[in-house]
Amino acid sequence: MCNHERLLDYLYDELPASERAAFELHLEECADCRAELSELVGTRLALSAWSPPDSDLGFTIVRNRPSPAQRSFWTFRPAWAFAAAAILVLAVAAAISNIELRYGNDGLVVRTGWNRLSEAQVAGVPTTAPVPVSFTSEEWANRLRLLDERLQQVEQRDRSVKAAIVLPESAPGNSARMSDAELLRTVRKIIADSETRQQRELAMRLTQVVRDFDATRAGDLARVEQGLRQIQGLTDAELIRHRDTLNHLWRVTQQK
Amino acid sequence: MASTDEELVARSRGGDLDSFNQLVLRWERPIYALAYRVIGREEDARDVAQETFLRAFRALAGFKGQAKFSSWLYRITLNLCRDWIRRERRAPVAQAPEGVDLLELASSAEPTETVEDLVSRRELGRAVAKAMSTLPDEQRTAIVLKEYHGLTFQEIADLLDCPLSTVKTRLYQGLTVLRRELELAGVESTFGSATRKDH
Repeated sequence: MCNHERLLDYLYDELPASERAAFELHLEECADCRAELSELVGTRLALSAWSPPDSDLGFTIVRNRPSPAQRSFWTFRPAWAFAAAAILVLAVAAAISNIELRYGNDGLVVRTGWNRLSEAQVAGVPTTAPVPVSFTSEEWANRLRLLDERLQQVEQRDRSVKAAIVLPESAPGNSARMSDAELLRTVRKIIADSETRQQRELAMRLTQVVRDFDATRAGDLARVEQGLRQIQGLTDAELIRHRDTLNHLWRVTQQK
Repeated sequence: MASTDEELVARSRGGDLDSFNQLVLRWERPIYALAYRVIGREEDARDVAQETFLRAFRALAGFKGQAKFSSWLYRITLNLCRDWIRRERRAPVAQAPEGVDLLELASSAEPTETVEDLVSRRELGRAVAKAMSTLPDEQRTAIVLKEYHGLTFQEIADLLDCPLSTVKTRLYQGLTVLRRELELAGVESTFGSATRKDH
């Protein structure tokens, strides 16, 4: 074999055009160089079979503070991460709104607000407490006494609530003492207004979460598609170039 | 029309994070492939690729465009690979899973390949990976940069800070050792089909 540097230049198509023809002429005359070139082409073919395993990359630089460079960190942000975040937001929103989902004869019922829970708490009776089937006379007496005390507490709280409620000026009988029915209607109206506001706010949050999730997913998909197109383009171009080069080399090595 | 690396680098230096992430998207796979072929471990190659971009981002202010952005990335990657090899104090390990996953094979198939071709190519790839792991670092690096990343001899010399003739010598010696190792492994290299012999 004569000169491995020139052979490599020819093998990798880096030999200047002016020297190429002369080297091909040399190849026709030199069996050693021809054999060596053929072996090197075969080795390159074997090398082309080795590719790295597919790996999820998707690196993204994100900024965790307004200032650049030094205050960044790496993270992988797939769509599922945003989905998990959206579910967490929904859970928090549901917790704040105290959502109750019930399916019964009335169909699916969704309720929000804290009023239901407070009713049970005001009564002071655990909702999950078991109910005995029968009591002794002494137990009855104790329970009646407790019930009486609770009723007194409720009545006292009711009076304090009536005193605390400030009615709109336009409401009739503002200056006069309200009847129980009027008070009940007013309280119900306040509760209904509160629930309506909460439902509206929850709907807005849900809409925002869904919109953010869709936007993120669309962005992820666009990035994935762009990456695939790029990889496909690079791979195809590289393959074509390699095959052209190897075909040419094969033709040259087989000329004689 | 897609922006060039130089345009994206300029915008990134101006604080445009999206532009830098476009560069990441463009180069993450070649950088990962380079790291994998040099150190031979998938997970570590991912880490090296990730660290490469992080370091590049942090050092972006100091990159004046004196070299191609890709060459700069390659240099960072190779330095990290060198650190990894020194830290691990061992030769790169060629990962060669035992089983052949046909679904995985099918996903990497070229349109004209049969299943037999696929299996043969996969086995050949494993033999190459093993043979590459026997090479000294500098020979393996020269082969990887030339063969898989298409750098010119001069670009490799600049990247590795060594004379042009040294690059060619490393490449030639590496290919020669590879050929011998592949023959020992039963790989018959003939044009058109580098296949593995069954013994």
